Amino acid sequence: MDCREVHDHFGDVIDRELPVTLRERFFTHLRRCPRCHIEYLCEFVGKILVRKHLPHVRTPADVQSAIIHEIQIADPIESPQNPWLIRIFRRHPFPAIATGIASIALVLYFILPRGTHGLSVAGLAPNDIIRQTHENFMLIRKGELTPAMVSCERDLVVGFFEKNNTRFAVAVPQMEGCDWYGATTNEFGDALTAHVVYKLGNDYLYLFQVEKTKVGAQATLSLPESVLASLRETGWYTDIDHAECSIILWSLNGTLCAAASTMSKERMLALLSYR
Amino acid sequence: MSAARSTLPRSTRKKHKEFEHEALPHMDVLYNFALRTTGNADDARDLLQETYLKAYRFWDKYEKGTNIRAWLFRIMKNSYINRYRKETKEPDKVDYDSVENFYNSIRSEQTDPNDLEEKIFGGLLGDEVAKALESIPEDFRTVVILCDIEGLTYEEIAEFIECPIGTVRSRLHRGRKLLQAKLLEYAKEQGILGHD
Ligand SMILES: [Zn+2]
Ligand SMILES: [Zn+2]
Repeated sequence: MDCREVHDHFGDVIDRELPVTLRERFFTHLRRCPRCHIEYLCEFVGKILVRKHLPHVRTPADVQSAIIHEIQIADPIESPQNPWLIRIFRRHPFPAIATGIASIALVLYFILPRGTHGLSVAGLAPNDIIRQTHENFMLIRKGELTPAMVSCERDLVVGFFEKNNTRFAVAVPQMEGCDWYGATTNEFGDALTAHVVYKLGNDYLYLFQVEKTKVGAQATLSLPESVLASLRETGWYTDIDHAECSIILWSLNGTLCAAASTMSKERMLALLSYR
Repeated sequence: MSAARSTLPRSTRKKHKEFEHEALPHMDVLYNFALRTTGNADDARDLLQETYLKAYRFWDKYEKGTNIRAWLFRIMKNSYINRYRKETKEPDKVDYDSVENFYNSIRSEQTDPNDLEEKIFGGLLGDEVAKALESIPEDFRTVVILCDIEGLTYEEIAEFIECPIGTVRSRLHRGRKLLQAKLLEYAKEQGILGHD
């Protein structure tokens, strides 16, 4: 074996892939050739260092259980604590499973009911964003308002809004511990609205979003003057507690966002502080 | 057992069971690859989750009886590329002169790689080795991780990365050379090795 051949076999020896018949010839050369010997040792040291300092580790238990959980909810019908999805799928068999076509986003064909305004947020105009957010959120919780798409992957939700050409920046904050995301768009008069739903354990968090220019005294959607003033001054507004949920409003990048959730205001703010 | 669960279609239950038995046992291999490729536990977690979710969704595309680890690995690799790949950067320039000088500076009676490791690189920390590994280009890093951390054979690595064994060997050699040069740099910075 000459220097060239020996050099080509460094890895084979280090990784125990060299046939025994060649081993003797390899080491005979090393004993005679200090240059190859040193180079071989140094290459071996690289492997020793990696093995010593970067050992093979076990997958952390919380990561394992998160994955098992995600797989369980990947077939939404399997998750009994998910009344909303179960309802959807009972009415409309899941097309991807039914046809065997693998699809990452479960696209369902539901449309937001238009102009259904109850009486629960008394005193607010029908085009008031707080009122609409509140009512939509109640419908979501009852399983009566369903998103056009549901996915465990945030990126697909972002892609959904891109595809739907919302023309304004829709915020889809990444949420730690989110079981799945739902998304839909809807038109109210000449305003396109975007809706994101997060399912986090037993809680829902709902985001209503619209271009800021569509909101104002003379615009398609309205807010009480005190709320507009708070947004102008601080960028934020947190609603007086409704019996059933908390509502937070803010504006960012030309988009007005309203969030409703059964969570505490503090937890909502912590989740929403994505800026 | 809730009502919802008992109404599960049999095909879905079968799919679930199969997936649990075949795919989940390989989590550690994938986690380690994700950890060493992304360089941090949070990204590794996200990457692993994404990989398993995709694998589950595409389970009917997996050909039963073929190498499941290699299949899962390729899903992970694609997810990684889509998610994290930065602009393809020029590999760091390797200072071959300094490597060469280093070879000349070690006396050849040194015969045991373990002694050499202790003597030259004994002061290096795990973080520095991880950083050195992250610094080498992805193709080379991948084979080093699969070989040295995961302990796969050349044949297995070839199947994972869908390349001939010759490619595996040459990438390993080059990867280790790059790693060596980087580690040497760190050792020098620490003053373990004299500056030349
Ligand atoms: Zn030689
Ligand atoms: Zn070489």
